[in-house]
Amino acid sequence: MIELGLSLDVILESFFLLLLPILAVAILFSENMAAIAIMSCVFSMVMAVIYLLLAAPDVAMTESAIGAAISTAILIKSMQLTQSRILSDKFFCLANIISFFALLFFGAMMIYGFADLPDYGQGSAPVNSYISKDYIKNTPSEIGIASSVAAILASYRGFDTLGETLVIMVAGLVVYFVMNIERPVQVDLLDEKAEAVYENKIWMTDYIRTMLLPVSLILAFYIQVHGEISPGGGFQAGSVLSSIFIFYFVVADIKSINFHKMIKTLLKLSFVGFLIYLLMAIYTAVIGGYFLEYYAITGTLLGHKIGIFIIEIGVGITVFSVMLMIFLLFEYKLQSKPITRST
Amino acid sequence: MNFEDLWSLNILASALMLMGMFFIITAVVGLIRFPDFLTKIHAISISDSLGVPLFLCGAMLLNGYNLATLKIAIIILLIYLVNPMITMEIGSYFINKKSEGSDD
Repeated sequence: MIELGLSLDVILESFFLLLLPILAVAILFSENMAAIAIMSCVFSMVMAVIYLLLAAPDVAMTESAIGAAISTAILIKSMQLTQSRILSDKFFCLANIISFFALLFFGAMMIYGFADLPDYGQGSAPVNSYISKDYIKNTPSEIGIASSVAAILASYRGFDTLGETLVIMVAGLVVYFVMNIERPVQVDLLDEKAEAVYENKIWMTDYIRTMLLPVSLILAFYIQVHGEISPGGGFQAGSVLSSIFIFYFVVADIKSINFHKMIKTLLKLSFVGFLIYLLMAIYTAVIGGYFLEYYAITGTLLGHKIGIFIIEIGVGITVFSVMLMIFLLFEYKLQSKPITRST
Repeated sequence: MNFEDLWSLNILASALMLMGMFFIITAVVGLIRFPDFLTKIHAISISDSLGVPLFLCGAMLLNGYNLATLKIAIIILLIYLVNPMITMEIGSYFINKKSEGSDD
């Protein structure tokens, strides 16, 4: 039974939700990799708007920072590393046929799984019936912070978040090893043509990006430390901060950076962020509480605030360093690629 | 004071929004009709630097004195700072690439 309550929210949501399959089909049938990168960026922006309409601003923040900014930058970098066009002359090769049947299988599984999902916005869905009400009701008395999302993330489901941070750290480590920058590549970075191109750049981009950097840094810092009160927290702050730096590096001449040293520092930083989280968990266990029971720090609700603040900082450091490190790895590979231009 | 009752303010806001929409539509028409990459960029930058800020100015007038108005003002400032820079960056990249190609 569907009620047609056509409020503005419903119209907007339907419009953006209809935009998504159109974009997906456009991405599927496009052969230009640059267009695919831009369209996936638009897809992520539309997703972010939908999250915002569904009253999930922190998810929208993460989606627009990671989906729209960082993954687009990484896609474009990897596109420059490989080739910018899909070669479509061999359509019926073995790999294509195998992947077609695999995708058919997964698509059928997902359509089968749709049957068990609750309807869109259904009030009697398991999520809406008791658990979220429970969290919203008990967060002020049990955790003592205003943002119930941060309470779920850091306290009720603290162990899951520990695992997520570990997953992000391991992902960064895996990309680091796959890119294989240990083997030193002798690069002639400053060839004269590149110098001439960058001298041509006008002062405006440098001026504006320098002007925007402190403001954006304050924004990221605010999202980090305000995570207990307003939407935000470690994941959001880390992704916003890294997207700021990626923006700063994209518009700039970054040939003067010591990539190798910076990537290694970021790798170590990601370990440090995870260790902050883990040591916090172990500390709570050592002083007499359960694993990740922040209540034991002071014995009052203040302990929860301190513990959540510290682990959010750890999460933020890990997310920031991993995201920036992946981007810099691609950039480093791109610059150390032998230049095959003048043939 | 209730801002929604002021009909002159409403008319001013509607005029600003309509002007903004006009410039956005001209930008889109230019994006489709113009022949060249650089002229296309020129056309679409009209919407960034004139269309969207005018529309948001209308929204600010409708909103009255509150925090959301300040946020819209910050958004206008950000659009003014970032979008011309991005347009210029894309255009300068295109020109540099073109000159490189002609050298080779």
